[in-house]
Amino acid sequence: MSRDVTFFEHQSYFHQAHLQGETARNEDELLMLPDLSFGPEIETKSVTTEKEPTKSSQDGADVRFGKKLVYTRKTKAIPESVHVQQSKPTLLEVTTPNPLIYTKSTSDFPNVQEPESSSTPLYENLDIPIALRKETRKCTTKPLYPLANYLSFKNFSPTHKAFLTSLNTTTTPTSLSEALSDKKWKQAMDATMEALEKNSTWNLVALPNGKKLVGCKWVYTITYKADGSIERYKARLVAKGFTQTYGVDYMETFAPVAKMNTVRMILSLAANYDWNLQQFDVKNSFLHGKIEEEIYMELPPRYGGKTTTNTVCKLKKALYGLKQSPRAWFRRFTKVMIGLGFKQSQGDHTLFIKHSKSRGETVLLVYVDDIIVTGDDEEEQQRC
Amino acid sequence: MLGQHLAKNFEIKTLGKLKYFLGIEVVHSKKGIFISQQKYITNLLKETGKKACKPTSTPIDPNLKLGSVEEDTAVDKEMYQRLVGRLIYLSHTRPDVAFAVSLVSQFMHQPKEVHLEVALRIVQYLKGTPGKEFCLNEMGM
Repeated sequence: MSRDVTFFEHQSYFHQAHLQGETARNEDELLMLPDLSFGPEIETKSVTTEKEPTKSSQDGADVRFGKKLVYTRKTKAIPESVHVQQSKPTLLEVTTPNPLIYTKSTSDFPNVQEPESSSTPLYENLDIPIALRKETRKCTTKPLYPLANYLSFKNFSPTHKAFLTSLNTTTTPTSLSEALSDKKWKQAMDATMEALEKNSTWNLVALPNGKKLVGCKWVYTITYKADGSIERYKARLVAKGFTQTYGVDYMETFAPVAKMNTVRMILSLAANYDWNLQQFDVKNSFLHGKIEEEIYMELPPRYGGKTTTNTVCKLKKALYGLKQSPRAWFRRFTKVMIGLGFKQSQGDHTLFIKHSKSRGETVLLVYVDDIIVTGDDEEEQQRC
Repeated sequence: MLGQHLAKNFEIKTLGKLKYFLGIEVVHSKKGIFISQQKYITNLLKETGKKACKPTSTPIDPNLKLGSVEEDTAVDKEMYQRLVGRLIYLSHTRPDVAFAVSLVSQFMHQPKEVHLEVALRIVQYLKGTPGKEFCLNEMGM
């Protein structure tokens, strides 16, 4: 122990701490492991096992790693080797077979002053930042356990493999400039613009004085088929509804949805009278709604370049994102249903009933864009 | 006829016989119409982390007296309300849990540990019987 004290006086604090800590040593052991594959180490290892075959596995491991420490550290840091010898003096004999270790470590052992002289360049090095002083660890350059050894896609089915790769290769753009760099998204945006024009969603007008302008943006999504392949690239133009103000460019926003009780009642009716139950779904439902308020929207990004700066879109039909879109859609739907001869129920406004004396009943229920139809009016439901 | 009329006005996708509507699975048979929420229950089990739990045979302890308690530790209100809300939606096709759900829904304003335990017990019961179906048939059958 007294040797320890003298030893500390000549060492920097960092090294002392490092030497003392058993955990630190364990860390080193791990780092040294890769060296096991090199020649001289194997030799020493065999010597160790020969000399102390009766030792417990724990001790045996210690001996081996201690020696490893001595060997590898020699080239870099002498204090480490000193420590090993001090803590386990018996090790010294074990290490003797390796000439490299022996010459230096024995000189360390009897006189503590000596290692300092032999390792002077090392202490000069201490001024250099640690990142430069330490060479790249072997475990970094040559991983012991490369991931590729343990992870493989080879047992996946070909379709699943295709799905996995497509997950990584396809990304949805988050900005217009990103989307413009890909032809597929350009086409998707063109298709949407065409559909909007065909639907006569807006008129191009000059912005009247004192009117507010609503922003808009593109939102991109990829739809997948059940097997994971891409179904289509979808670009949707959405209005920035959060810039609207109540009373100025929107009034009421409430739109009713079907009550669960009504759904169950219809199912019960269908079961009781053995009616046919059918289901529909409206595509892009919100785009069908007609706007009654006066809303001016800026030109869609990318498509505004050709016109003069003052030109804006005056909306005639609803767009996704507008506050009144759901209500506008429901109003439009109600109008169409009444036009077809249906009566709107007063108990649940999403329920429409058509009664014909000669043919029977037709009952329709709508939940935003999902529709169920039932009744005993076969003709009405035919070719649905 | 109706489908054609609708298609004239809107872009419509005909999905045929009713199978799935608002999270409710519909099965047609000679005996009547069966409705269930199996997928909904599976999602609920996943969300509550009860996927691997041991199912119980009853939704609620028969001798349970549940009241509002002051001492017990409070639980995350939002989580509790969300859970009970999902259970309420579930009782549309599962009248067997309706009573237990009505009990736990009385403490939405101040949920405590005891109440959450009872609510989770309902989930545990559902785990054992996720495919139970509600049958709608002709009167008297």
